[in-house]
Amino acid sequence: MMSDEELVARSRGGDLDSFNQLVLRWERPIYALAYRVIGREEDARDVAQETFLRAFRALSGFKGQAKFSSWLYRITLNLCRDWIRRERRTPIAQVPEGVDLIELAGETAPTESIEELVSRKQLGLAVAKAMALLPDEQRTAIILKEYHGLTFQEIADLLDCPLSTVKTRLYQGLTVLRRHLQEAKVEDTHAKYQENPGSSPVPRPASGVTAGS
Amino acid sequence: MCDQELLLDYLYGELEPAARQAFDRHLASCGDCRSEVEGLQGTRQQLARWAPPEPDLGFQIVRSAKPAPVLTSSRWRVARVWGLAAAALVVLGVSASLANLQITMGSGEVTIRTGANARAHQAAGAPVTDTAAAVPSPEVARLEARLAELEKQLSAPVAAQVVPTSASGTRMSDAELLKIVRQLISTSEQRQEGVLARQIIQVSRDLEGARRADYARVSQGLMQLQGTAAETSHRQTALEYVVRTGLQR
Repeated sequence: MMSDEELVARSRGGDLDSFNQLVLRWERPIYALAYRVIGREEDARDVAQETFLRAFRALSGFKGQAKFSSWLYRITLNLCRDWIRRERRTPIAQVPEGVDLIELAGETAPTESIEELVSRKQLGLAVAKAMALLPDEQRTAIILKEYHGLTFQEIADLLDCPLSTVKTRLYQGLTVLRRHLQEAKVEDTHAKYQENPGSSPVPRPASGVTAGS
Repeated sequence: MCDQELLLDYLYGELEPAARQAFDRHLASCGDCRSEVEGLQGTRQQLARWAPPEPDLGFQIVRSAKPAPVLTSSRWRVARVWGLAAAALVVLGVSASLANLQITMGSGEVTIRTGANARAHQAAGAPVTDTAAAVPSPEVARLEARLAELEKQLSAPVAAQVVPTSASGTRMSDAELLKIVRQLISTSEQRQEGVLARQIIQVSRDLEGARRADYARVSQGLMQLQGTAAETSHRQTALEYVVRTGLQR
């Protein structure tokens, strides 16, 4: 299997198949990034598609100074930023920073709280909703770290900000998420279920936990 | 709280082995850091449960076969350096979820080709035969109406849609291209819908006919059965009479 660098070199030489192999290789992570950042399937798909179109057109300008994937991520994040700015300008609702974009998109029932979702073991939705509460920068930093395995330095390079800033954003974001999601810990419910496979696990709050840390 | 950055590095496994061991030793004696690390580990495990939905991707960049005139935009001069522009303009092929939809743009003209095209044209000419002599069910009538509607909408031939590029030959913006692609996809979907509707009508008629034939057979069978039953009951009565009279003797 050819490395990204090799495929990029061939693409720059005019080999379309090589570029399409890169597309195949990276379309899912790019889509996943866009989806988690903006919270909408169709728009994430558009952003992903647009990312590859732009990358293709700008290929001659990519000289391998960074990883090809980082370069793609940068394009995607720029497109996401543009999308968010456009959405926030819509007259329907002046959506301030950090407001629940996912709720806005109608992907969760607006009345269901994060706690309710957690207790219903709808953890994916709970996380999505909690993430949507974060300011864009914190959310982006967490997404890049948690779901794309970038190092702190790589994230700093990608976002053009100091290393310490990345860590601060990540820490603050994680702390907020921890507070919102802590009603029922995943490990507890799993452990209980494994003890009595017959009973349905009832999540209970971790003992001695107080809200706000 | 102790060094937050160090804690993060530890949490994400970005510490060198020596530093990691040192931090492990620190954790052994620092309750704050320990509960912090555990708490955040728990959060990370929860975060891992957020997965995006399964998308329908399959993007590919496709090169059109027609040679294109040289465009004046500097981007396309750059494209020539790759050796690509000799062939054509950039094209975006959309995923197979739309049944072989292929969109090409070149020489100021956009064409679409779908696998369903040929079939759609064929179906348009074929007469829909009635297998049942009876009046079609309301469902069939409704489908026919819808089909007539679709046919009216799609009466224009599908071969090529000419999209004029501007006189100076500047290429379309991405937004325009995406818009055209969406329109073509929507047209293609409608055609497929038409083909499907036609097929549904045909199947529905077939079923209708079969149902009526069955019903006729069953009715007849029933009548025969009734006849037999009548006969049997008649014989039975006669038999009873004989037995009774026999017994009486």
